[in-house]
Amino acid sequence: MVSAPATTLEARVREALASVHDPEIPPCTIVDLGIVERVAVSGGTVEVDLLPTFAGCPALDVIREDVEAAVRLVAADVSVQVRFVHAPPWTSDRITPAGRAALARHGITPPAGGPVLIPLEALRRPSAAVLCPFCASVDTVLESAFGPTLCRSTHFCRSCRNPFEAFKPKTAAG
Amino acid sequence: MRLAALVHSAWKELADVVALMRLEERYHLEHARAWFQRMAGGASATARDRLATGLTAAVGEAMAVFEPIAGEEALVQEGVLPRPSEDLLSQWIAEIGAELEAASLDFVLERHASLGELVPTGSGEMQGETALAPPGIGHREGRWVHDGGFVGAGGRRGRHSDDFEPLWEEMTSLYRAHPGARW
Repeated sequence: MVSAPATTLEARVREALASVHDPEIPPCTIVDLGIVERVAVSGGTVEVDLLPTFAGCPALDVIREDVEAAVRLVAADVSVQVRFVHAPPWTSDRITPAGRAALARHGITPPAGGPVLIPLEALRRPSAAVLCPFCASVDTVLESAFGPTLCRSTHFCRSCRNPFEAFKPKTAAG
Repeated sequence: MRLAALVHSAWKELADVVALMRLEERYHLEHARAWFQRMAGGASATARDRLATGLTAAVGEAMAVFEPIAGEEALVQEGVLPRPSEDLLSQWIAEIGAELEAASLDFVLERHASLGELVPTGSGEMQGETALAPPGIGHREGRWVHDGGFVGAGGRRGRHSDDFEPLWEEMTSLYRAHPGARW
């Protein structure tokens, strides 16, 4: 599909944001992850409100710089204000279908829908809640609730014998 | 427990970020619980022994987390702190006591109370100051409680034990080894 060039400044900014990839989850853009909460254009100012996925995420400064750079490419003469806000709290159900597909393609199991928590008390015991991203087997075990980034846990697939990572489910109701 | 209270803080920015932290806090709680259960109830007597020794040494320092902070009364009055520290400590000891009791490890609390050894202060800077004295712990009417209030100033007021410095060195060594490095 060939999309027509965006006309309004806000549309151009939104398009630019959709090109910013998360530095810790490179297959996904910040739009895929549901981090972009608000875009406002008024006069010569573009405001972008972003929701950190985890409170202590070390990637925030990089995301801020990437967003500023991306917006300047489409709106050179405006001032860009990137804010991190915490309301509403980010939850993993904000990840878009495209984001979930991108995670799975890159070997990271997307979070289960709804208030499903990884059963941590069942450490190293089978947990059917998490599918292997490589062979789709449910015969997987949780190795640790913590992985290479705050938002990922580590697992092992007993079917195809691959270690893999999952994006942690994070919901208010669970 | 503290985060559960701070969700209701009158300081909205704080309440918002705490609400986010609460969603991830449970991973840490469940992670800790999984290890506690594994070591306390697992097949290894050595693990259980070492857990008990570690808990005995750590209980006092853990209580110091609930030391009232400077200006606390005003903060409570304005609703920035929805609950005073002393109140949180009571709940903490009751809940930790119940968990330890379930694992037959609650003797570590009594051991703490009878030794009265736990003073997470004590660098040279502390001379002339009253040492931090976490309250004792007792078992009354089926519930673990604390006796009395804190005395003195500790970690929450920037006064630390001798253990702090090597820990600080270790935790900041990477940062200092690469000045100006960026993530």
